[in-house]
Amino acid sequence: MRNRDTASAGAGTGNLLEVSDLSVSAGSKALVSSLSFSMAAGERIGLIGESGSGKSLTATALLGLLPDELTVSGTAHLRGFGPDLLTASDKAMQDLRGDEISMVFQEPLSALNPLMKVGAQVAEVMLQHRTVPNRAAARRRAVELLASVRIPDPAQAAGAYPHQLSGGQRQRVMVAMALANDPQLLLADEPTTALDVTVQSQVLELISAQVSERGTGLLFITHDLAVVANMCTRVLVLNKGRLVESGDLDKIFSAPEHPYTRALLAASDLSATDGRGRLFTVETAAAYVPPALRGGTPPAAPTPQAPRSEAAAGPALISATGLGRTYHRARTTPFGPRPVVNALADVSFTVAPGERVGIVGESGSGKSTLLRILAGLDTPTSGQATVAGTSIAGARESDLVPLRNALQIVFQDPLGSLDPRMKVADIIAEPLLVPGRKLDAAGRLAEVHRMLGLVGLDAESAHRYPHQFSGGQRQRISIARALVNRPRILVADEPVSALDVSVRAQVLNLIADLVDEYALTLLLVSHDLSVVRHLCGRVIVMKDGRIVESGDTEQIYNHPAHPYTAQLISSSLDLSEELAMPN
Amino acid sequence: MTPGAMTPGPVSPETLKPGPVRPRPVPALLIGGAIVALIALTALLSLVFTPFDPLQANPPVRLQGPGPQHWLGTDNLGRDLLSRILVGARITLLVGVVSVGIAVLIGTPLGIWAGMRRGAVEEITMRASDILLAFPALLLAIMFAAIYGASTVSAMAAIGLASVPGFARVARAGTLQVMNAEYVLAARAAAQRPLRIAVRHVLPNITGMLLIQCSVTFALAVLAEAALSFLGLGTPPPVPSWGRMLQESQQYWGTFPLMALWPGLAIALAVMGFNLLGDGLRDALDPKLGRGKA
Amino acid sequence: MLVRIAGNLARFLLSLLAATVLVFALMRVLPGDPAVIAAGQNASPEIVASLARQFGTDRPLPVQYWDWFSGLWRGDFGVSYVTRADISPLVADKVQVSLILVSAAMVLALAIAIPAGTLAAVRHNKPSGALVSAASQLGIAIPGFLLGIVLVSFFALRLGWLPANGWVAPGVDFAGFLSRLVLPVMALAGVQSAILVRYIRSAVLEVMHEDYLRTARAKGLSRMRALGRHGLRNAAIPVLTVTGVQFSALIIGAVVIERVFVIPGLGSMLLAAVGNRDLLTVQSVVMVLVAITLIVNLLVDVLYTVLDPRIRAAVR
Repeated sequence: MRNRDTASAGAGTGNLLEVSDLSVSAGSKALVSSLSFSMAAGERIGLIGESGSGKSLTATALLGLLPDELTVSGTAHLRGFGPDLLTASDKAMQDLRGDEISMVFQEPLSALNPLMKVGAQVAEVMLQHRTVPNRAAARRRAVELLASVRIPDPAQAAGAYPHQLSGGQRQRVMVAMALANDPQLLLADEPTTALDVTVQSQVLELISAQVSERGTGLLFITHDLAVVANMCTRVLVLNKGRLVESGDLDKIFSAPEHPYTRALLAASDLSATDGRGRLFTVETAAAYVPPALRGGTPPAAPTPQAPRSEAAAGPALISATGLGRTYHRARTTPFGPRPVVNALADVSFTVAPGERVGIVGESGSGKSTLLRILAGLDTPTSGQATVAGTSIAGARESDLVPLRNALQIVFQDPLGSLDPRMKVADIIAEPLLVPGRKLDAAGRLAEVHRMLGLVGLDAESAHRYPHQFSGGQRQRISIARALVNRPRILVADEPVSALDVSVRAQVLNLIADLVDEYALTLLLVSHDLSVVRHLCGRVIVMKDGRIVESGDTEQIYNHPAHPYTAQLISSSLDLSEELAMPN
Repeated sequence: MTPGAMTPGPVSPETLKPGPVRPRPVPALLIGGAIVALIALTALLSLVFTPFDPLQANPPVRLQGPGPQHWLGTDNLGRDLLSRILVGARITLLVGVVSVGIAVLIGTPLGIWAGMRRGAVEEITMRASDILLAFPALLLAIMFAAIYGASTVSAMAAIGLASVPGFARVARAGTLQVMNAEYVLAARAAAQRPLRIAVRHVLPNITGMLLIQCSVTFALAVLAEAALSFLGLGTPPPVPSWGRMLQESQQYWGTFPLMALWPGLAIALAVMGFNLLGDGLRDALDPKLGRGKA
Repeated sequence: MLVRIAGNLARFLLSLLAATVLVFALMRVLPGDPAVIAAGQNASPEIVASLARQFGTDRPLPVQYWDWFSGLWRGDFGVSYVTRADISPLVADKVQVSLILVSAAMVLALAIAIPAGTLAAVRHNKPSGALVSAASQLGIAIPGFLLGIVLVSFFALRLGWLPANGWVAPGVDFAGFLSRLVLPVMALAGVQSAILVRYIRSAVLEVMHEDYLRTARAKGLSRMRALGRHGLRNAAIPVLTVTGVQFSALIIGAVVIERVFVIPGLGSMLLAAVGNRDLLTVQSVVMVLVAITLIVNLLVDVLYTVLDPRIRAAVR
């Protein structure tokens, strides 16, 4: 799948957008430093960067919506609009916003007014700029637009409130709203980051089709290189507010000149590994060969550490039979039964010691619920599960102590999973206080120091608080806490999805190293198929609380048996595949 | 809870919008703290020294304006207003401290318990606190005065009891937030007992909210005590209290407003001090203000 | 939505029931037999017994509770043990006075606070916004009865513009009614508007940082229009809750204000009954005040449901 090919060649006379020396600063701190670029009419430019790179600020500045505390300098000119976008009066910019320039934001739920029907919200932008004669026409046009972004039953959807639509539908509404007045320029700020993969590919395709149909210029902001490869023809790479490299997509992605670009590319490419079978990181990026230069077809991902899924001959370490978990919703009729939601239904599987199993699925698939049940943090409403010899269903807290010793968990949010009021030493030592473990304070501190060394943090970290660390470092602390008690099973719930790509590779390598070293059984939940493919020998695919398919990772990725798995795999954007697509 | 809420979706690295750079340091905290400290010092000072005997009537010098002898003037019986204001701070503080203490000690554990146990415990505690909320401090205090007669003790008990739901709610809301945090899940996965989780994780993380609530409740207690004394249902005479001084001034509002002015100012200053302290704490402890809304 | 409103109603009735039990327990059980209190300290057992028979307090407590409770439904509060007067007509009289006072104060407070709070939020980093915030900070610290005293001293006693106290029914002398209403309503509304300004300010500020307001700006709406079309209704939801809570604060605040301005409302009746140790009257007035509070809470809950489409079908 490659949406960028449909881009019309920017054949207009003069550039659509001309930005020079754009700088944004907060007081004396520069957030964006002298950024210059131009965009031809109908061109699609990707603005790539990690958190704090200033990519969102750039778009916000072009729209004239920077917070008052920030100061902006430089010039930005839009074709057909006299004043400079950065200094024009708010009144002049109002006429431009939503008419000539519009924007799609990351989080479609919070970007829509919760108290207003979506049809009215789409109609508003047309009424505001008087592109429709009257209210009735605006309403009709809004329904047409909702139809054009392929929302099923657009007339009914127009009368719905945002919370009644799905995430993907909400983002379609945002797209409809942004394109209602046929703008010259569309700014898209991580528009699919909050969406599931299957929805993401649909929304990308939609944006792509709409933009090329209307000849709209697209500035696409993202941290995801695969998405850029899919959508754009030219890229700008931002790092800490500076433009480090720019140029045609194929050139940048095949022969990056700047070390940062190379590092970003290497770390994003989960199919490429170094001599040790580990992912490339900022340090090892020099040895990385971009996929376009690796030969015609993308090499089958080498998975040296994904062995013996067949060799699972020993007794199962984890076994689940018919696990179910239901939740009750509020009544909708006065005395009727409360509607039941099946978060998990009839889930059965086994994991042998030493196996690495990935659980993939989209939001609402029940993958995290399953994980929490196995970790003894939630109770199943039906079925049985035995983990490391402990039976989970109906167990009391005191019965679970052996499980707590054998299984530890790493969570998604590296900040939320560390108590902000505790020092790192106390956080890591917490599992050592498990009943039955007798270790004095000095012994615990020695363990803490040993773990800190193991996860690559210095001993001084022990006396600091979580907020003094970066996201990647925090996730290292979480891992140290999980392994301090030498569990046999490590359970990880989206351990890298909140991290920047360059940090992601390092944390994944650390997990791989430690799993090897401690001979751990790994259970990894992720929405990201490539993460699972890299780390796990076996994969379980879940949808709507059920297991759809499970088996050897390579087998399933290359020959999915279930249509949902096939859809999931084809929707996932993989960097090397995107780049390998012939132009 | 919906199952969707339990399944973390992908999170972008750039969810933070550019927030305001750290706002001005917190003047409210300093001003509020200074006022509260001043009142506390006043009350302490009055234990060892007052310019005159606050209870000693001296009719020849009644209703005098401020002068070298009586800095704030005298009341209708010739008593020194400054001395009475100083001593009045004691009752204000005493009632505030005891009633906030009652509310903290009952409300906080109840709220934490409700937030950690959920289910029926939570339902019952919260319904009960809803009902108690329909009885404001002043109403409860009037009822207690009707039953047991006006006294400092019944005022403190009533104000304290009426403030319990506030603490229970704050503690419960904070506890729910903490219990949903992944670090509590991690602690549970590390086989930590509920009591330890309450002490090590929940309490430290809701202390900030509780401090704010203490400060706000203290201001309300000062107000309620003043109103109660004004109605003649608080601390009985002859012990001076600011509210009672206002009541005694009622006949002289038109002719000698100073007699109402001083206790009025004292009450307003005390309430403002505790309110500012609460605001200052809120600003200082609110992570949102530091980084902008995430 | 109807399910939710039915739920609100059920909860209201349960709370009301629980409140009657609480009031009965506090006022009737704790103090001891009203007959003993009414008879005085030196009364002979025979007199106490005959009074007990007369009041009906010689029967078991649950029966007495049921008597009182079923009376409440019919609007019958019983006969005072002290004055031997029928309580219900008195209460009916005073309730009108108190409700007029409190409602007028709430309307005035909102009329001041909504524009002022919005202004303070929109101009939060300008001097005018800071001024409103500071004024509200000051206003909160001045208790209603103190403001009342200041108003009386100045406008009534010093300038003589308005009567210092008293009450005239609106049907009797409307001008006199209004002139006597002005000062107490101002005294009550002063603090309330200061409190509401703070909540409205923070609600509007919160909304101003919401993503959907940025979306509205990106559509080309001006700052004020975006706030007016998308912000205010969202900000109204938390403010509504506060208004409900503050209404009950006003009701009890009015008790003190009635004393300052010598207004014959529920507050004066309550305080007089406390002075006489007339416990059944106290019990009745307290019950009425609590019931008004609960009714206001019910109304707020229902409005909330109407206003917010998310709650109409919320998952609890």
